[in-house]
Amino acid sequence: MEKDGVEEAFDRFSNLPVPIIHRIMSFLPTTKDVTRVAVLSKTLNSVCHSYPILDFDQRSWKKIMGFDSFLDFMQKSLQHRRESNIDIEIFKLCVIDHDGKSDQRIDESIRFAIEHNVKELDLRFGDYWIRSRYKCYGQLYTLPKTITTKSIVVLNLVGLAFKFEDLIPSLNLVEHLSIELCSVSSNFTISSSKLKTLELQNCKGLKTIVVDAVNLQYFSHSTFTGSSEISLGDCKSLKYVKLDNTAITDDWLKNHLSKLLLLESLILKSCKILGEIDICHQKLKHLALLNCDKLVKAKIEAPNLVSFYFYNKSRFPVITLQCSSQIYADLILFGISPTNDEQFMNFKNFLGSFSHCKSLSLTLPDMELSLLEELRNALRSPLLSLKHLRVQLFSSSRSLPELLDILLCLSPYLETMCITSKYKENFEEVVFPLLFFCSFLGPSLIVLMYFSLVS
Amino acid sequence: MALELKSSDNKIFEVEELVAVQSETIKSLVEDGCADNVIPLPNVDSKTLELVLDWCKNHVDMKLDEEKLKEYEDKFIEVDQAVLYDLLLAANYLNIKDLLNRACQKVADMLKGKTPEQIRETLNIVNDFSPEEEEEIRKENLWAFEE
Repeated sequence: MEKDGVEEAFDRFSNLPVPIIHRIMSFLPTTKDVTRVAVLSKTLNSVCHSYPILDFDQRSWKKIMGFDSFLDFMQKSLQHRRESNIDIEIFKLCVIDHDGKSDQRIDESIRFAIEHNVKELDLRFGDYWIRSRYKCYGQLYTLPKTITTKSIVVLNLVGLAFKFEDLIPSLNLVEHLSIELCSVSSNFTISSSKLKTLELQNCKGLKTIVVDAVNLQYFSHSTFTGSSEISLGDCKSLKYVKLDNTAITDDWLKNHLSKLLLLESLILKSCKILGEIDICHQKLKHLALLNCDKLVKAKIEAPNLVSFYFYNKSRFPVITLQCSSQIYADLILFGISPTNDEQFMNFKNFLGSFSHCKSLSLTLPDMELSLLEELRNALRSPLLSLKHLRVQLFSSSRSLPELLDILLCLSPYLETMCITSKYKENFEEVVFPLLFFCSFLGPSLIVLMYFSLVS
Repeated sequence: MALELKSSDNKIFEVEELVAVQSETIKSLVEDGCADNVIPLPNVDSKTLELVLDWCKNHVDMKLDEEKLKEYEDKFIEVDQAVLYDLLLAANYLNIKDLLNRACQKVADMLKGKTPEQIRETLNIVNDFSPEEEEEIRKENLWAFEE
């Protein structure tokens, strides 16, 4: 815009209604951008003091100020706001360098948010990534006891220490609750008709979880120690359940599946007590059995199953899979080497469960390929109906023709095949359509195709 | 069914109801049965109203084609500041959420990553702090003045 005598530039921004300026600010990507608006002019300075979203993330300020200055800065920012007395919508605080001791500035800021009827409260203490990766809790910050609020709808707590008895009275309106890497009391019992998502990840001291939430749709639980009892039977609306290192039994699974009729996704990771499971469910769409090492038998009857993920290190369970032909299966087969006939049959039958799958993805170290080779030598190829195959290998000691040979004998009626290798020395990622009748032709065709791909 | 909308400069626009009810304001009028006559929109001039109605019509037409719609939206919002503010205020008055958000995002895009000086220049904001106040603000918010 030109600034000359006739066409005077006009500041329309500052004259926008305050809620619109706030809405514009909510689209700014960083806190720095948001706080820059406050230094532009007196008008905008006071508009910022009523901006209902507060995000104090120590990580953003680390390069500019130390831990102490950061807390002073936060305290001062809140002081400016006390006059305006506007409700806060979102309050986020992320502190990395604290030493576990209570700090008045931190406690004050949390109280401030609560006094101003905060709807979304997000408190994160400690370096999350290091703690998750190394499975340690480090210094935990004690949540001030005076959190009695009836306004919170979204609550995220990471790296805090508190007792559930002190927290639960404030959770009447909470719809999304996430508690991670906290030190808590042993019993978590909640009864709420508002709760929609619940995440309890790696909480120290948590032993029993009882949830009575008729509108709960999403539940995720993980622990470092693997010793929690969970009761979810009353949560009839559950659609997604993820359990990581949770000590659930075969009966628990059967029991809960019979009650959770709307369940669509079930992810069981490192559930080391499961031995023989029976999954019979009409609505289930996604199932993942990952690293459940004691699993011996799995009977899965799910006519609407669209995806199946399997990862096991120790043995091939006997899996009978009854599902739709639309299913996509992803199998990661690692470090297993059946050394006897029974195990070999097991493996053959296991692979055969997926012959009706629409598409199959196999991740194998080279050793597993020798198993597939064995299968090639078996009389009947197990994957007769398979149309789309994707194989990821971890070593490339086989050449492409050998590989194609093995895989085509395994599933002769493929339409597409995609082979990727972690080490792309011998061949590049290959995707090509295979015609139906090429399986009748010998290895010569495969060799030809290899050359044409390379050139 | 067609509705008649009158801009602040007394121009009449005839629009299909399906297009017009993208505006929650107009939608409530229709639902309350007050949309039989011409609907006056004293806060929106004809130039802006024409653009707004174009937005609404395309959102009805391209509802199922997300890619095409995004392309349209990106092109639509490439307007100069004056028009952008008019669109913003019209979208707010007519309560058209997606237009309001897109326009707000566009303004935010003009601000992000800029120093206060640069922002003032872009938006023609006058720095009305006294030298003492300026000093105070700078001290408190030193980081805001860095790149």
